[in-house]
Amino acid sequence: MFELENLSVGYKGRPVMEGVSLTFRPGEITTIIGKNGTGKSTLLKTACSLLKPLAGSVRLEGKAQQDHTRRQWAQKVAFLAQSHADSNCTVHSLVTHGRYPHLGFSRSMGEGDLRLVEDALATMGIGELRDTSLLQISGGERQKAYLAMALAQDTPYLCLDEPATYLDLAVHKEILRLLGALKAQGKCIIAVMHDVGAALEVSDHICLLGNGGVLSYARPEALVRGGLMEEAFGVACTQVSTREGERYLFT
Amino acid sequence: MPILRTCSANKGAHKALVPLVCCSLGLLIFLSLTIGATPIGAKGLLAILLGEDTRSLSYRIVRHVRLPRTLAAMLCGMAMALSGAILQKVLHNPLAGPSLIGVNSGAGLFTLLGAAFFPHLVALGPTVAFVGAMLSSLLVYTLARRSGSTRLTIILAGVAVSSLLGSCTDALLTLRPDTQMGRLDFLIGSFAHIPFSQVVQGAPYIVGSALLALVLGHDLTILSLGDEVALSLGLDVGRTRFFALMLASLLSASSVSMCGLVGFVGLVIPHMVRSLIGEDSSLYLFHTAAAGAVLTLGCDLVARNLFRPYELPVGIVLSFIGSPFFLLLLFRQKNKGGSHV
Repeated sequence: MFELENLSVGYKGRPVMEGVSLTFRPGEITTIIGKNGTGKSTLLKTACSLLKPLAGSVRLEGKAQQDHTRRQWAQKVAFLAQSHADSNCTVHSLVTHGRYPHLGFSRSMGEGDLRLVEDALATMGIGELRDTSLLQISGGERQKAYLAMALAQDTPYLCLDEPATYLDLAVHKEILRLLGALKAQGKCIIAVMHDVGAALEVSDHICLLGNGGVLSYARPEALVRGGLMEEAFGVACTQVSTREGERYLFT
Repeated sequence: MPILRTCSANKGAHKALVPLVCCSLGLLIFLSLTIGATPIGAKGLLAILLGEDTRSLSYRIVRHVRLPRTLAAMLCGMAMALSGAILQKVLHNPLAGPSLIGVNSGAGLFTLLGAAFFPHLVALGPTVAFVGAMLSSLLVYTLARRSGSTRLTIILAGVAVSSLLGSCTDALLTLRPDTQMGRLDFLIGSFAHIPFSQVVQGAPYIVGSALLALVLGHDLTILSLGDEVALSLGLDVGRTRFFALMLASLLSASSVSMCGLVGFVGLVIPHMVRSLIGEDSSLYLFHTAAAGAVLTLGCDLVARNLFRPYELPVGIVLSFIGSPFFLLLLFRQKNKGGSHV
C-alpha cells in the first residue's frame, strides 16, 4: 500500500496542489491525468521522494517516507523520469545501474543481480543493443533502456512519468502492454500520462487533477460517465466497446 | 562509431590496458631518473636505489633533484587529472575542470599570500593552498546553492569567483613583485626545484584522496546519470556531490601547492580517457589517474631536456603537446558520428 495523506506539493514553498489523499494498491495501475501545469509530475515526484512535501505525509506499507533511508526507499520504489541526462554509457551498463540500491559496500553484482539485468533486457526486447551507447540509439530505444533499468531495480512499486510520450505507435502500444504484464505480476504502478485515451484503456483507477487538487479519483468508466472529463479537458468523451475491449473516443 | 563501441564493448580490453599503462609509467620513471645534463646509467641508478651508492655526485642528483621531481610530476598529474574527472562527472559538464570552478585560483592566491606575508612559514605551503582551494570551492558551492544549485550556476559561480581571485593574485603580484617564489614557475606550473620534503608533505593528501576517489567511483557514475535518476536509485545526491567536490578540491590544492597552476591536465586527460575507453568503466578513474601521471611525467621529461641546459616550464609543454592531441580527438570523435560531450 502506497498512501498519500493530505499531501501538499509544490516548489520553493509555493504549493501547486494541496490536500491530496490517495491510496495505491498492489496489482493495480493508477494513472494521473490532467491538463498541462496541473502538477502531475510534481505530485508523482513528491510521492517518490524526489521532492519534499510541503505538508502531509507519504506512507509506504505503513511506514512514513522519512523513516526510510534513501537506499531502503529505492529498494521498494522505482521511478522513471520524463527526461534524462545524456550519458555515454552502454544500454547494458545503464540497466545494471538499476541494481545499485541492492548492492553492498563493495558495489559488486552477484549472480542474482546479473540475472535480473538480463531479464529486464529481455522483457524490453533490447538485448541486441546491450553494447551500444545510449547516444547512438533512438528515443524509443532509450526509453526502453531506462524502463529496463527501472525493471532491474525489481521494486514492488513503479512510478512512471510519461512512460510512452513522444514514442511512435508501436513502441507506445508495447509499453502499455508491458504495464499490463507488470500489473499481472502484482506490482503497483503509478503513472503520469499525457495520452488520456491510453490512460483510460489500461488503468484501474484514474486520478484527475485540476484546480489545485484532485478533481476525481475513480474507475475509468465511472469517470467518463460522470462527465468530469468534459469539464476538465473541454472535450466530450464517449466509451466504445470494440473486439479488443473498451476504447474511448474524444470529440 | 568504433570509438564509442570500444567504450564498453570489451571490458577485458580495459583490464588489458592496466599492465600497458603500468609499463609505460615504469619506463618514463626510469628515463626521468637517468636522462639529464648528467646522464646516469642503469647500473648506476640501480646502485643508488638499492642504497649501495650514497656518496657520489650521481647519488645526490637522483636523491635531491630527479627523484623528487619525478614523484612530483607523477603525483600532480594524477591529482589534476582525477580532480578534473571528478568535477566533470559531478557537475555533468565536460567543461568543468579544477581551473574553472575556482579551486585553482583559490589555492594559487593563498599560496601567494603565504609567500608574500609569511615567507618564513614556507613549510606550510600545501596546507595554505589547501585552505585556499577549500574556501574558494565552498564559496562557489554556496553561491551556486543560493542561486539555484543547477549544474550551470555552479560553473557560472566558479567563473566569477575564479576571475575575482585571479585579479587578487594579479594585484598581489603587482604590489609585491619581490614575493619570494618562482613567479613564472608558479603561474605556468613547473616541477623544477621541488625539494623532497615538499613531495613528502603533499603525497599523503594526493594518494589518500586518490584512493577515496576510486572507492567513490561507482557512486560518481550513478551521479552522472542526472540528479533525478541518481535520487531514484537511492543515492544521497547532495552529500555525494559535496563530498566529491571536497575531494576534487583536495586533489587540485595539493597539486597546485606543489607545482603551481597546471590546470590544463585536469581538463584534457579526463576527455582523452573518456574517448578512448568511455567513462562508464569501473576502471575509468584508475586510467585517468594513470594517464595524468604518464602525460605529466612525459611532458616534464621533454620540458627539461629539449633545450638543455635551459628548461621550459612544464605547463608550456603540456599545452603544446596536449592541445593538438585533444583537438585531434575531438575531430576524430566528430567524424565517427558521435559526440561524447
